[in-house]
Amino acid sequence: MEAIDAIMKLNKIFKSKNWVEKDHDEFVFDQFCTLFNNLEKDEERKLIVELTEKYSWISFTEYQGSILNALKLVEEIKLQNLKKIYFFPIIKPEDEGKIKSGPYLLYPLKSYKKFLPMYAHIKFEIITSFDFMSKDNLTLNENEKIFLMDDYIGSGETLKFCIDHLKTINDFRNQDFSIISIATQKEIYDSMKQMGISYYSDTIQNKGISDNYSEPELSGKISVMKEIERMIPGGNHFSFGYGDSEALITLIRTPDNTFPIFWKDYRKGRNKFNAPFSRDESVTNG
Amino acid sequence: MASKKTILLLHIIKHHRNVDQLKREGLSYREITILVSESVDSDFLKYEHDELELTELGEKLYQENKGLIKKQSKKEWIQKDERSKIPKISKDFIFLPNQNELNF
Repeated sequence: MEAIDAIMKLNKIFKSKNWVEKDHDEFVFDQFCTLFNNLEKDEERKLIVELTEKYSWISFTEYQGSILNALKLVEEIKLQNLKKIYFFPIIKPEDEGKIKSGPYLLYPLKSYKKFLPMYAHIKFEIITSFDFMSKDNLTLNENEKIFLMDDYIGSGETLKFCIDHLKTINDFRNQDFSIISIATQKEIYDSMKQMGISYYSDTIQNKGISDNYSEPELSGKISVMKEIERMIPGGNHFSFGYGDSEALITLIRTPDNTFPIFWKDYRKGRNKFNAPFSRDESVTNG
Repeated sequence: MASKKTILLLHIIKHHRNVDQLKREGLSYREITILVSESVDSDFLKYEHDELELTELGEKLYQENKGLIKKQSKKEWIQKDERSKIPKISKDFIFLPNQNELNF
């Protein structure tokens, strides 16, 4: 796929995904096109186009709708018997009190209740400190549950830390927890469900390459991505996304689980270029 | 009458498919996609299976107007290297090198 064909295909993707309505769409579009222009090979451009077709870009303005969608996925039969839900952010104990997406999501929850008639009989309690969740301060009754929330769950590392710590400080069982997220990787979703933890997410993502191609095409696509990643200084650490997540998602920020070529600035020759969904706060011009 | 940019686009699709020339003409990537879409609507280009190709009409238009994008004189397609330019020296000028700066 030559650069001009890739640019036209990208234009189609932007329209079909309604990305033309997003803030900064022009910047993102330009960085994608510059990337197509900088890639040497047709198969590299083709892979980026194919991955972009599967890419999710969730803006801040879509957060409310996505959280409501996730909460609506909880089975009514499970809600009928509940009297109280403790909402708790998915954070590591050492990150308590820091500005993170988890606590930030909890703040408007009570105002969402009017859009959730199936939760009308349930009291919402928002908790942000591990201390409150400890055995000394909380005894969970049979008709009470803990909903753990975050906008995105990638490798699940933070989620596991959070659950482990909660189990250490109280007598919680797996069935006491439900996980609510806007988007999640399928791998962690499946592993939590296997552990008997309920999990509800508005978007569930497969691995961008490993789950979408089969051999012999798969090995070829992996080599192409490795070749592309050679343009990223220090890209090895995040190769195929943190924890090999192979994610294809941008929320308020782009998680490092996403393939780094989408968010990490890269070099061609002596010039430095911005990634389409650059995480850098400053912008580089070519 | 086709614009110079349209003919340049047809030239790019026909020959090398590299958009740098259009960028140098001052078009943004978005404007390039608009130019392509307009050329598809005018039946100069066809866009099938995610690939662009010249139509018969496009080919005819290109052949009739390719002179528009040909650089007419050397002045237009070779840029002057102003940095290496030195002032003109008169024929009576005698150059006396500074002994301290000579390295032989």
